[in-house]
Amino acid sequence: MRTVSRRQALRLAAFSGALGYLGQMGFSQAQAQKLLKIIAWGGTYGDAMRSSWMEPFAAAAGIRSEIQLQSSSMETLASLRANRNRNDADLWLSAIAPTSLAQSDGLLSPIPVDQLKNASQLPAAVVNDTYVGIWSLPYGIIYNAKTVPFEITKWEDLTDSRLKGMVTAPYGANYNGMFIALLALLAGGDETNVDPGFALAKKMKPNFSIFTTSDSEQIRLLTSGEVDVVAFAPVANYFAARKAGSQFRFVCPKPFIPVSISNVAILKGANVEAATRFIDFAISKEPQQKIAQMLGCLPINTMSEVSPTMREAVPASTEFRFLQEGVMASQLSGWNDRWQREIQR
Amino acid sequence: MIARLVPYFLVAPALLLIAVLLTGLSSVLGWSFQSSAGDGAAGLVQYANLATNESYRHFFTYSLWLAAISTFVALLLGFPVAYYMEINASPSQRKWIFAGLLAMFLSDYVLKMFGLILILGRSGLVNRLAMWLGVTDAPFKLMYNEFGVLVGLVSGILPYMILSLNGVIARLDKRLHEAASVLGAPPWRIFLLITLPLCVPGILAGTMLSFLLSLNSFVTPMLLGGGRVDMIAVLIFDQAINLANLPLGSAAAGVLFLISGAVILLLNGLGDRYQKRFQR
Amino acid sequence: MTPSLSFKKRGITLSGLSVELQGKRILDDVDLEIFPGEIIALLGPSGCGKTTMLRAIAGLQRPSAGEIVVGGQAMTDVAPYRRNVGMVFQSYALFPHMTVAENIVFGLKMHGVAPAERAVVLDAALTMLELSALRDAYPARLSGGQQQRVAIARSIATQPSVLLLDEPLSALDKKLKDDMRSELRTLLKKVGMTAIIVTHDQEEALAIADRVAVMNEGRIVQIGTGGDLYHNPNCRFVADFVGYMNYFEGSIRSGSDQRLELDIGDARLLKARSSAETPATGHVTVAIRPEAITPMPKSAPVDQDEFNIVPACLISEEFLGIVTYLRFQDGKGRDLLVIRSGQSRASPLRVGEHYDLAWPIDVTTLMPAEPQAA
Repeated sequence: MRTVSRRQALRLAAFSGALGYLGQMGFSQAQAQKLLKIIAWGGTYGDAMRSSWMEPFAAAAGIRSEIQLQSSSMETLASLRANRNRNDADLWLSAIAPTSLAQSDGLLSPIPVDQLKNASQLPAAVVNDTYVGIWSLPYGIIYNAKTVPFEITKWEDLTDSRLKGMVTAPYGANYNGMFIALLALLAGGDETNVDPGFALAKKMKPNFSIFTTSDSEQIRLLTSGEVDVVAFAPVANYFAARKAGSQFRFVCPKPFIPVSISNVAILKGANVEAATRFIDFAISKEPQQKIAQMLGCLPINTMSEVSPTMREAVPASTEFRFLQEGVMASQLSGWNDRWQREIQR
Repeated sequence: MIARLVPYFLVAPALLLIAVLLTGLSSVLGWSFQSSAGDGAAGLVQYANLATNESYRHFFTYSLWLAAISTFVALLLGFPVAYYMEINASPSQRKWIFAGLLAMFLSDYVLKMFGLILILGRSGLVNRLAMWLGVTDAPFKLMYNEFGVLVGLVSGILPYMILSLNGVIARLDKRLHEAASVLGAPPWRIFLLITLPLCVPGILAGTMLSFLLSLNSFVTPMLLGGGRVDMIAVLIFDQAINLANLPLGSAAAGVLFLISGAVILLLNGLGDRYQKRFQR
Repeated sequence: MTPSLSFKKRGITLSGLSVELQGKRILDDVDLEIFPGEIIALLGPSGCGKTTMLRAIAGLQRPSAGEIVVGGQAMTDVAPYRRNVGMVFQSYALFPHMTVAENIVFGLKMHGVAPAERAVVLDAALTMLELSALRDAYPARLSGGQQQRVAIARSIATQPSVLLLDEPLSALDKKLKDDMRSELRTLLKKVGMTAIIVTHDQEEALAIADRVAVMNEGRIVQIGTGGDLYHNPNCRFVADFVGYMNYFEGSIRSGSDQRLELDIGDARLLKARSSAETPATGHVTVAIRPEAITPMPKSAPVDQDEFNIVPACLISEEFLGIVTYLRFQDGKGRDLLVIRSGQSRASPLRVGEHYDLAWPIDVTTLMPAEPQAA
């Protein structure tokens, strides 16, 4: 029997280790050509993305993609900042505020907008080299028609004393400060002057009973009877609550409702070419129709058809208002403190 | 050779885990010295921010207050249970109480909090009962406020408190009570002069554990606070996750770490000083 | 004796006292009269009910029937903290979180004695028990003997009417135990308290107490002075508990007012003096203390009227210093123990030789036959 000396054994181990490593390097490089890593939300979002975008895209373009889960886009921003230069994802699904902050922190690659063939079918405001819109979500009021003694039609109804202790509002500057900005606009201020908005919120304060941090919490509180009105809810939450009972109503209150844009951005160090092709596919007519229907949101592509259930909740006559989320982004921290201090306590 | 290495193999995984945790913790602390955008060192800016902003300070003072109250209530509620369990309960009663405690330990914390909502919520058990009995027309607000969080905190720490007290109560020498009784001490004086002082080590241990668990709790204020109960962990989460301000969140975590350490040192010191007096 | 520590001597009367624990009768219809200033020892094996009796007197154990009267006052339904009895627990039960001084004044505080008076009593107690140097020490730092003195000081500080001591010496080592025995009696007699001491150690009981109550299975089997129990045990249980004893089973063959003749088999007759307690006829147990027997050479003359004689063979000899144990066996295979003083200058005996074992008729004790005795 041949004996292997210790030194030989060590060399052998080192060599085979190096071989393995080289093999892996080659493998991962080869894969990098084909595999797109997308930071996105899980759950229904992930499911909808896979069936509407990722699987058809892989079939059409031969580029596979996978989701790296995030629980919120702000969390991803924090982690991108923390792991600067160590990120290996290509695309990031997010909202305008975090994207704007990430762009100013130099965490993004510019999107080659001229290579997006379908960009012309999107509203011009949602296509630029920082981000491209992927769907939009209108926000309104959800209430329980059985327990609320009157029909809610306008945002000002939230100050009605008959709603005392029945309303849930967003926690801090949740929903990227949209509720605070909306109140400011309604009260004569704007995204840079929210004092009137806080004054209006103080009128609503006796009505606010709980401040919620997530969509799921809103839905749970409403359907369990803990609250009767959700002051500021994406229409998707209405569809979810509706499954629990027909007493829930969605209102697109007068005079206008805010719409948030979910967007996609290309991260620094990404495979820009493949990422661009993915974005172009995602914003095209059919995938847009499909994902909007699955998620209960509005398609960003103007050619896509809007589902009847969405039309029922958000009539075509509704006036939308795009908020200046980029302007709001840098003020969120201050708004958050102030909301906690003046409204929540 | 191998036999000599065995202890190292057994110790290594735990040490490794501790090392990894400490690395994580120190990197969190490292972040607390960065500017909010995470693009450079900023000294103690974040700590100064925490110290000067009344809104942030409130999270700390309020958390300490809630932790103190909940610990005190848990002590008041837990002591009789622990005492009954060790002194008066029959073996089968003891088994049942222990099973209850075990269930409280084994069940998921989030699940327990949801259970409380089912009991104390607006249309929960208590309110339905109160309205059925005609005690009230409108439901009591027992949840999504300070009271709800206190109930959640107390029910979270109660089993720890009880088990900490169990140890010392089990070791209580029954003859000391008899000796005091024969010497003329009525039951309440026996409790104050004999039982309580001898339980001090367990009370301190239970207090420390409960206080720290309450102080650091996140799920309870998140689920039961209705956004009205400011606790430190919520601030950390809000800053680090919702507002992408990892440095400020890290600084808050750092301060929480320091407070926790101070509490441990203080209570340990007290316990040592107390016990040293009458231990060989 | 310090004037500030004075005690009222009180008697204790137990009548029909019974204690049941979980359906088991621990104490069974006990009557006992203890005179003021008397020291009584309750002697018996563990589980005989002696500690239970003590605890019942202290009020720590509720009797299921019967009366406890201390100094003429019914105590049966009085809470322990209102009885003012002193008690020294088996392992002293000193409060570990209090200093020696704090332990001693605890009872005074509970009785609402003013601080100035407490200080006087404390000093007296510390002096009396030689604890002055240890007044600020915690119990854990004291030796066993010191702890015991603290326990006694604590229990007498309130000047109780009775002192109850539960195995007060059992936690001490042999040497200390022997020293403390006489010290304890001296102390108790000095303060003149009525005291009940529970012990399973016959030497301890005999050394400390005025009278000893031997207990078994919840009852007092016999009560009397050490001498009474030693010389006139009324049953094998008492005889065995107080020293060693040799036994013969026999039956009364004939009797007069003064003398009985006993048949112990082997065609051998023993003689004994009759007394009021001995049965006139039937089966009896004959008991002889080993130290009462003298081995004599076969040929030596013995006064058959004054002595009983049993021939036996020396099996073994154990020299223990103070005494020598000699083990004999008679013709019927009965073992007989003879104890000779270590100082005895009597001629040495040889193992294997036959001797006449002789003892005075006066020390031949009769008791009812006990069929269960082995």
